[in-house]
Amino acid sequence: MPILANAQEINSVTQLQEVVIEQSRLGSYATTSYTLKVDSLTKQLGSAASLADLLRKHGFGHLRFYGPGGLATASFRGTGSSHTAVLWNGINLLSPLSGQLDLSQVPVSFIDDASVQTGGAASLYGNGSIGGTIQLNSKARFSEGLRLNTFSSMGSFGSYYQDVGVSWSGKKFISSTKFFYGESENDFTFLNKNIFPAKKERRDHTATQQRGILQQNYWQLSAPHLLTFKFWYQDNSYEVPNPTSVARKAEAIEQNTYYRTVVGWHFDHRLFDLNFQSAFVKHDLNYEDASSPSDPSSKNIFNTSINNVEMNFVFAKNIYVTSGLHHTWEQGIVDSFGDREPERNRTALFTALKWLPTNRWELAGAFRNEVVNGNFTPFAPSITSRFKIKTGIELFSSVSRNYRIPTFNDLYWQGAGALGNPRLKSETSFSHEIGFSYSLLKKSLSVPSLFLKTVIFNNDVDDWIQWNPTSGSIWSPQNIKKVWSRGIELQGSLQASVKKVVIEMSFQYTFTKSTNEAIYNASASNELHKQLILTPVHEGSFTGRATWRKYMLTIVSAYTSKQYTDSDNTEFNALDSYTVTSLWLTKRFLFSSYQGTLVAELNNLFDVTYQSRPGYPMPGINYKVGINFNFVKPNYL
Amino acid sequence: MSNPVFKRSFLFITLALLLFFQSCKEADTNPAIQVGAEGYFVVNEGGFGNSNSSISFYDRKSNAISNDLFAAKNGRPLGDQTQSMSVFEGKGYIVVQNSAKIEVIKLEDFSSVATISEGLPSPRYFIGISSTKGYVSDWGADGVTGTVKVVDLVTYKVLNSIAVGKGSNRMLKVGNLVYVANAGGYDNDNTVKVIDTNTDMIVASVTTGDNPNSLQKDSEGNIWVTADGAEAYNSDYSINESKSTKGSISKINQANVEVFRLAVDKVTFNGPSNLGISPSGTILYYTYDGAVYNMATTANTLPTTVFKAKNYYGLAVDPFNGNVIGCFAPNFSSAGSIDVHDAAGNLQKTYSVGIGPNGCAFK
Repeated sequence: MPILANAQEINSVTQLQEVVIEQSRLGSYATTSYTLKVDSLTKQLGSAASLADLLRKHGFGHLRFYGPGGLATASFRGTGSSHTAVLWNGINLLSPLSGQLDLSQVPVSFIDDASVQTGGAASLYGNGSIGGTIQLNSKARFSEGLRLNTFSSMGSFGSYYQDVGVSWSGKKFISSTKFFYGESENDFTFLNKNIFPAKKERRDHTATQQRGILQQNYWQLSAPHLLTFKFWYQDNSYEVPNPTSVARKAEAIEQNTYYRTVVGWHFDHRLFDLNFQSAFVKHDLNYEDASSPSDPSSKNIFNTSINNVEMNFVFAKNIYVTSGLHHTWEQGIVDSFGDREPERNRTALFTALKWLPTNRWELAGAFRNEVVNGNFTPFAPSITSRFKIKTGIELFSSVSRNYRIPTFNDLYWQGAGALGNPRLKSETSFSHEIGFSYSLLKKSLSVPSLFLKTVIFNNDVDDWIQWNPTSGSIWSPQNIKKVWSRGIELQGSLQASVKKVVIEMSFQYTFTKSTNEAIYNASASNELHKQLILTPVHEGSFTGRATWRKYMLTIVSAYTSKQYTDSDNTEFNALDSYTVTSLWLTKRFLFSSYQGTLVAELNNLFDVTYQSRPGYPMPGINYKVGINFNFVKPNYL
Repeated sequence: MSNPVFKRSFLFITLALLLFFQSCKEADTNPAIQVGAEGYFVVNEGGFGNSNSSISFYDRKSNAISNDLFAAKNGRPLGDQTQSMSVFEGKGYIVVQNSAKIEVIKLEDFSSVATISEGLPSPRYFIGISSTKGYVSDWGADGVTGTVKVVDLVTYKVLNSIAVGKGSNRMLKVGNLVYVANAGGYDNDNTVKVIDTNTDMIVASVTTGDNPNSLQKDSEGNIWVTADGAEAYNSDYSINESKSTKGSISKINQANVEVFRLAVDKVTFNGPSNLGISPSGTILYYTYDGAVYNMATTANTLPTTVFKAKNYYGLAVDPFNGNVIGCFAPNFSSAGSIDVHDAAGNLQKTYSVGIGPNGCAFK
């Protein structure tokens, strides 16, 4: 993924108006972290895909995939699947039931701006941000006129996708409506080694269907007052396949419906601004499994109401302060909680201060403290420092403490053979990082631009929650482990033009050791000092992009090293390493009132056989073609 | 292009790429598997939904254990949730429930003889009847239509299916009769069915405590049965004590009549199970509520003191020396172990085995 602003972006006609700032500014208090940004060209390549697909194909850190159409979560810096907070315009979308958000159910077309921030430097983001955060933001500009945008695509394994977006942007008011529909059979063939002799089979019961609508409004009341409104409805119907080791025919169907509403009021003064956000998030998950007569269906609903107030001050020219209060009410209505409908009130207070003692040095301190139903969660402070050694060379470091509170499932689950544990404590982490970046940015493309960044990190996660069999074979979660993760992150990019061809090359690499350092029930000492399951030590990707006139060729190769699937690191059960390469070719068409882009995509070019989770094969070589139309009537105010 | 920064960084990126993308494939070593003449196999069930079950072998002569035999010999995973293994006439019958198959192997080197995968939707246990016939208990695809499948041991095809009850589980062969414990599967049952192996017909049905799971024959020819009991839930998933039944141990005489039934002290998710018996046929061993208990076959009350206070997932009694082998599964994501105790309960040695050990098969 190119880290530099792309040449085309710079020249783009869209750079007319300043972007409407409406989201939280917390990010500016944690700028030292390692950040991977999805640039607009990469986003365009993944228009017809889920965020999970986009992050995976373009090598943004470690994605855990239960195959196409299956659950996809991110794991950064050797942490677990529920250790990455996902924030949509500042609203945490993680389920209070499972502590996760399925990234395969986030359409790229609904997100204007996506970035991945690893590490816990941003302790301000609160619950769950132990390994990192994924930030999904909307972007809007006034006075852009009428726009119509469509993207249609089709590809292998019966996949179809269509989106339509209409927006009208006046001087004071913006209304944007987006709609998408996607479906895929995902019936690719794979080599089933679980049967003997191994043979090629078609993946069965993996069809998916998604549709959604996103309405966004911005209204500049008078100079300092901005009102915003967002509504995101989506429903997904998934066939849930069995792992390939299971011979039984899968019959489970998962139905997910999401409702997300956010209203905001933003008051922008010269010396301070005030942001108020009120959100309601509901997720209704219905699971039907006809093959399980004792438990044919289960209902899992959560309701969340979030109210945030945030103030940003400019104290002096070189001192900035932000402070705020986040309140979250959440409720779980789950069959397996029995008659209980657990609710909790979470109130968090946070303050951050950024001080620039000299124009080379930036220091930021922040803390967040959250009270859950009257009980304090671990205090979460962070300190970050950034020092400019000379133009283009920066040194930065941070120390932070983060936490994750137990999920409702961990606390309240009650079923045959499984029992939640109401006595669970929050997980806590203590992380440090130090890094430097080097950039040689040139305005003109005739001189190459270069960017390099590296971070060394260290993260101790204590009271790690894990489900284990207890007396009488009943599974129950316990604060059982202490995990030490440490490693190196490295990213670089290079941009240059050779005659008329603009060439960009970028890479990112992570080295992650994440090991069990203490097991509190002392029963599985063979897991001590072993790498966590499904956590590759090496992961890297290379992106090459060449742009010539209206053509653009992008190639991405992403490598994942061997992953252990059992906690004592048995070689035989380990998943093999894999390198998956994909290629995109785009051609732009420009006409007076609209432009179009043709995108052709070839995935897994070398037809590599691989799995990112045991028993869930990934497809071999496959294609997708799509076309985008963008009609603009700028004068239509 | 002559910019030195460009050149240097190009070199750097190329070097970095070379480093990342070099594949690190381990050489496949396939040591010749030699299973000792005397010893026993340990069944490692694996993590449910994962293809990581395995078989270990304990060799009496060298007093050592070797793990992961099937995969090491045959170069492919054994499968998902290996429920049991039985030794019969020089072959091993490994029943892999979630993969819905039986792997038949040669005992001496663990090489694959056949895979029986047709007509076994959810197999649990195998028992050899004759050199041409075996029985397999099977839960059925829905987990409640329990049967005993009759398998031809020459063609390795399922010939016939005998409906026996819900959750048909362990079996015991006594002369020309086979006793099948119906452990309930995804529901409840309370019968032990008796099949005549000559006709493959049910000749008797014995009512026991709810969900009988394992059985043994004592020195006097009585059949002992452990039963889980049935757990009923309130709407909030707390246990409904009045609708639940406690686990129990039943004694059945040679006329197939239940002589008595001894109920345990409380309702639990798993009642007494993993019934084993000493070589003399006079002392019973079983697991219950996180411990191992033993009782004499002359007793008519349940023991009140534990034999071993450890939460074993599986239990086996060595028919050669009466050692009590506890199979310990700390979780289902890493290796478990077996604790070998002598008949007096002294721990002799602990061996690390595969994931989720649940029982043993004796050679």
